[in-house]
Amino acid sequence: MPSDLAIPPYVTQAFDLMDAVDGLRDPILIRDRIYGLLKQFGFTSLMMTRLPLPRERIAPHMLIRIWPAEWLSHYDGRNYYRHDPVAERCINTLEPFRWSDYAHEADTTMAQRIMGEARDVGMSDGYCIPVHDVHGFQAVVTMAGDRLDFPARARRTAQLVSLFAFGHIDRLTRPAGPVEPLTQRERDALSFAAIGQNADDIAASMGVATSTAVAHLKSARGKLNATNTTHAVVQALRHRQISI
Amino acid sequence: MVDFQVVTADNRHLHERLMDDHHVLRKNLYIDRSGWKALTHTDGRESDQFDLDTTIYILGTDGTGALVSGSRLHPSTGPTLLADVFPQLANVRGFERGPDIFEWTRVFTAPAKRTEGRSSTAAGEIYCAVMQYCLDEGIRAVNIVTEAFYVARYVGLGWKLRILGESLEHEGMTLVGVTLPIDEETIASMRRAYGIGPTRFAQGLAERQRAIRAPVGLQA
Repeated sequence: MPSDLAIPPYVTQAFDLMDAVDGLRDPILIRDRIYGLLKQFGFTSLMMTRLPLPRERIAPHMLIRIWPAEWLSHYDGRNYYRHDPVAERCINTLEPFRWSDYAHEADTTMAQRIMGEARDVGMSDGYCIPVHDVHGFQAVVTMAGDRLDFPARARRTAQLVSLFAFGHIDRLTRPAGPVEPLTQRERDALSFAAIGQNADDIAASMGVATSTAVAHLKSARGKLNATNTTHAVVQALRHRQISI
Repeated sequence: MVDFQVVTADNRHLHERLMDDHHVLRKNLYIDRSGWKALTHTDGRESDQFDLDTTIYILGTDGTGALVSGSRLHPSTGPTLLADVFPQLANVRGFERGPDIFEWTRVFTAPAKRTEGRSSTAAGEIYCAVMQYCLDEGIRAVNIVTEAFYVARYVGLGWKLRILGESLEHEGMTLVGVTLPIDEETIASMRRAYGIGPTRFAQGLAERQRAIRAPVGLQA
């Protein structure tokens, strides 16, 4: 076996991680292994998410995350995704990149505010590893922290791990067979769920009883082979059965 | 419907025009379009150090006999990218060589057959044809040097990929070395994902198996 250069421990850790991912069916366990690898470089936050159209919200598309919860609801509540210079860069490249390389291109007040507020919640800088899934749709693995020490070799390792793990999680979160089309009412219920409404709110929006709204959500989950409503929203968005 | 020709040293004389078309298409795709600097061409045709008597070509043709896709396999016991050009890509796990392991290089589809950005049916057909051929011939695994971003797609398609080592920046690409074990389950998963049926090989199974068992020029 060739071994011209010494293999740093984090590379061994990464390859052991990839071997382990094969046998893991729960994305949370995969997430924890990746987080365990990235912490040593100063990262405190991690997210793997599919990337929707600019006018949509990120939350329904996330696959795994260790991410400040208030920041996420703040980000989506204010439609930051539409103005985030980092998100824009993600859509336009396949190459991993450092946030700070693009944040200074933030030429709007909104973009500057987003980067400033990210710093306030402990994300002074970060890296994005763009991903393309089986159908060519984009996703990203993004990681952030306050004080990063992330040499080039570690970045390449993180990229391999991200691509590999994304492929597995993509596969785990995709419905097993062809998707049965949703009824209009099922699509309505999921669309309201997608913008954060609970069952009572959905019922009010649809002009039906709460039990009816709950039934629509339940049958939608069944058709999409989803474990919960958030998962159902993701699948419905991916299969273009709803849009926001 | 795509028919796949399996061309080896044994039957190459029957497919000279198709093989020539494939070298012309390779020059078009890999030199003109992709700009791979290591490749050379003569008379508008591209070939490299892995185009040998022991190389197996799987070429897809349409109803008129025109070339629509192609790929190639060459023995792991002979010259390969992993052994001779990018050995560092296997620096963590190493890689296996043996009579039932081949290196898989150059998967391509003719530009007219593509759908921009997404995985087209033509791509699915050539991937499945190569994998089906390997399964039929008892090739139990293939070694591949590919671009890193494909890893997400391949793993997403159900390939049981094993990454062999750290990635390498080369000519603006991030390369990675992987091994793919060949099995029924993976091929079935591919066919479902692309919505395609069984591969149509122009050569029958027995004819193809003769070619691999007695390849011309392979050192024992």
